[in-house]
Amino acid sequence: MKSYVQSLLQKYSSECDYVDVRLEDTKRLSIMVKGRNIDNLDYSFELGGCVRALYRGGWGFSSFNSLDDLEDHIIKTIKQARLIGKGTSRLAPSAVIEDHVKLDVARNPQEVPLERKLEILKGYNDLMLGSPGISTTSIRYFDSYTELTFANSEGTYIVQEKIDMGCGLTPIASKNGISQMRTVGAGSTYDFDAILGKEEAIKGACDLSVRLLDSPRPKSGNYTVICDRHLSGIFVHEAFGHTSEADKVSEDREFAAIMKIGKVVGQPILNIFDTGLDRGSRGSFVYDDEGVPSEKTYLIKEGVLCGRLHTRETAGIMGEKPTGNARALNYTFPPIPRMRNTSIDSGESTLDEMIKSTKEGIFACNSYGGQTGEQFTFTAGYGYMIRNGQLEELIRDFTISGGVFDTLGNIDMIANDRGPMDSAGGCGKGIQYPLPVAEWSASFRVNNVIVGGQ
Amino acid sequence: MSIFIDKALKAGCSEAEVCTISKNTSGLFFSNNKISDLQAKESRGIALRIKKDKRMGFISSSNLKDVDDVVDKAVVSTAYGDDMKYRFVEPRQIKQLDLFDKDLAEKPIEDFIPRAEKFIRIIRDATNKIMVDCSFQKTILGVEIENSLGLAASYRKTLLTCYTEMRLTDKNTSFEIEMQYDRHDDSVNEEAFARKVAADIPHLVTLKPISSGKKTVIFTPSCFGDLFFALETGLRGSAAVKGVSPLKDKLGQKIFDERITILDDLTEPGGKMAAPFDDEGTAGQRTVLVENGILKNFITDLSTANELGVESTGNGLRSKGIYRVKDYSAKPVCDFSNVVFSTGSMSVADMIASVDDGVMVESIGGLLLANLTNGDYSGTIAHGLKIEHGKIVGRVTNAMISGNVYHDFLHNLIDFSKDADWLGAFSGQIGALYVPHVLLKNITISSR
Repeated sequence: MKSYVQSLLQKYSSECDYVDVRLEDTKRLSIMVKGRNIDNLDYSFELGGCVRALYRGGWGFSSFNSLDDLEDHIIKTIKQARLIGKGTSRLAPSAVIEDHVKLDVARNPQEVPLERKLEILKGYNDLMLGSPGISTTSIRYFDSYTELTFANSEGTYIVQEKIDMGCGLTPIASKNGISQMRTVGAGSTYDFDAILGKEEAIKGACDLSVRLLDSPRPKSGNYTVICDRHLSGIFVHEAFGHTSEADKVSEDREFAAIMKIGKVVGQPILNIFDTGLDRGSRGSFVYDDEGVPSEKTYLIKEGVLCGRLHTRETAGIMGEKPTGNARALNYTFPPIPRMRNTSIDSGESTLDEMIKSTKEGIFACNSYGGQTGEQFTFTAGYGYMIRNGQLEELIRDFTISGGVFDTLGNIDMIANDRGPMDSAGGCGKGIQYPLPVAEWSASFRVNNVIVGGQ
Repeated sequence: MSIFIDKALKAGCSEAEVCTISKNTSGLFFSNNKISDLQAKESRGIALRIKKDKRMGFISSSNLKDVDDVVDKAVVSTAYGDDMKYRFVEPRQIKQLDLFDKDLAEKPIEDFIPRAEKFIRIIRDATNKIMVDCSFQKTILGVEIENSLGLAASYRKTLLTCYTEMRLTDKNTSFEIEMQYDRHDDSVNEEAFARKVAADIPHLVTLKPISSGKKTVIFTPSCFGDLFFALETGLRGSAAVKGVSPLKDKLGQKIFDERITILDDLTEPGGKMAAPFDDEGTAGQRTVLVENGILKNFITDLSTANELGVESTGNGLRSKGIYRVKDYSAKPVCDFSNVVFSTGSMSVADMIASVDDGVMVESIGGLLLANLTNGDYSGTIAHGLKIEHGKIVGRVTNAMISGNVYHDFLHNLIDFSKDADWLGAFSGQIGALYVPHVLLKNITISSR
């Protein structure tokens, strides 16, 4: 395969500025459990490939399931690029790499018998269904094995073997037409055993779901908010991470002025980075989908904007270095700048100190997810009112929102608690969803946040 | 007969069904006002559903050479599959629909370059502070269904999708607008949308605070699409079976204002989901969900219909992802096809003129993250124009909107607009929506 692909790329490389090929072979198992029943258990096999060609700034892209006509696809894709390329190609340089990244796993989920996986899920399900007040459950599990080949006309040829696994365990409590649920997540690109030992977390989630049924919603208004690690991860990903993806900023001068490197956006305690190097996190990998080595990229250092997330093209346009963030959902998409594991780095406070030093506010925990734009909005999973430095009543169903930079600037304390935080979820950008990412972030305190309750 | 069905029957299955979905898509992409990509995507794969020992097994594959492994894994999955109390669809006559536009099928995608350039120019002439991404994608879709009961049906259709995402950056704010149109032929009117955005730009850059309180609100068709998220669980048969639909016991009862009628119609050619039969082979039909405010039916697929003791409404659809793209790897689920809302008597201009202090809401942010099952909606007004004394005066900032669709459509409806539009399902868990503007009173707005 290698010599065949390389000879084709060689043969046509003179007809365009750049051409690459990605081939993907994936085998995937998905399991859904709802209540007492397995709602869904299925396998999927996916074999496909794509070609991308660049000519004078114009891109051609083709994807396909049959690998028999690779040469025709290369010819066609270069033709597309030549049809629209009328400017200048600006790809930042990247080292030529030949590598075969073998599977790096402690325990490969695809080698665990199906019966064992179901036994573990059943154990968790029984635990949830046996908890007082839990009316039903939802469990989602998947694992996949992918062999990914990347080759380009510069001579890079990389084969990567990867696993991915994710699991979400959700107890649901209902009363008088109101439902409340919490999800315990697990995920890993390194070890099936990341799914084990969730019993205590499940008990906590069950208890919380039931207590949330009778908890009040906070009054809408402006609050000092402490975000727990989970919500912190979602906040930094949604509200700030997406604005750091360089495809917007590389072409838009107005937006570039807002995202100017060197701009002070927060207090010196604020450090934000995006990394592909945390082994096992669902946002980690060795090479991105342009064959660029993954790395740890600082976006904010000591409160100052200092970096962004690049593909080779966005880096080329901006005269910066590629960061290993060119990612495609699968072979049917070209890579675009995407996050990996985006984090607010640990600070020097503790969660306890942050709560104790807050006279009045909200401790906001967990989240259903979030959305960005000029304003971000997240629905918190639950929270507690804080009065005179004490956690008081449990609260539910509220959103937090604000302007991204206002909010970053208002972060005044960060805890030293960054650590693993993976789930079965993924990131969406345009149609490319769900891309595996992680959000290992530290909890923090922020002033002047809009809380939507009742 | 398909080799997959043959193998499955030999492996001891009592029934088998193969659905083959092929797609040929060519796309033209403009990014940041400039042409960036031409793309071609071919995909072809199968999904095999089998019944063995009365249980359902499922697998999808784009590796069509590996028949044995595909059938083996499907058989493994039957051990954990649904208890299948129904049969696959019996062969019967299905009325074909003309959804294949030859002119569109043959038109090279690069022929859309002048249209994309014009679209961008109209918007950029209004302000150069806007960055426009837009794409035209043309798909030829082929669907074939075959089962061991003798059903063999197929159709082809064309689809043109125009998608745009724009970012207006002004001072320290950055504001996004997103829209998608889908048609079976070349009738997408992206130019009208560009002119509307261009006309709105002076309002979009004029930021207006709004006071908290109960206000009169116009939801535009695209925002109406957001509201449908709070409604769809109610009308979905599978949710009624599971007991999570708040409408599960309300068939025949008044749930909305009597001016509201809602249909689901797979055979409606204007909607992007249109097809002669659903993805289980059931003939498409027009299903009345709500008539003059009375709940009449839920949408159903084979499994849901069996549970409810009715016939399938032809809503067993295979689509993937939040954009509801038909895909071979998706299992058929009980899902909406083309949803058609009743219209009213007002013009949009009259609606605006009638509002003394309110908002015309184009989109709500963060809505999908809330628990929508009970009809509650709540989120930031991501794109909303403020109306004072019957005139649009600017764009609302720092405000949230909340309500409950079941309450608001029963008690707070002033009127629908007389014109409606097909809305692309860019945010959608639903297929396609034909919706008017709606004018509602007493909607809660909370501001900073």
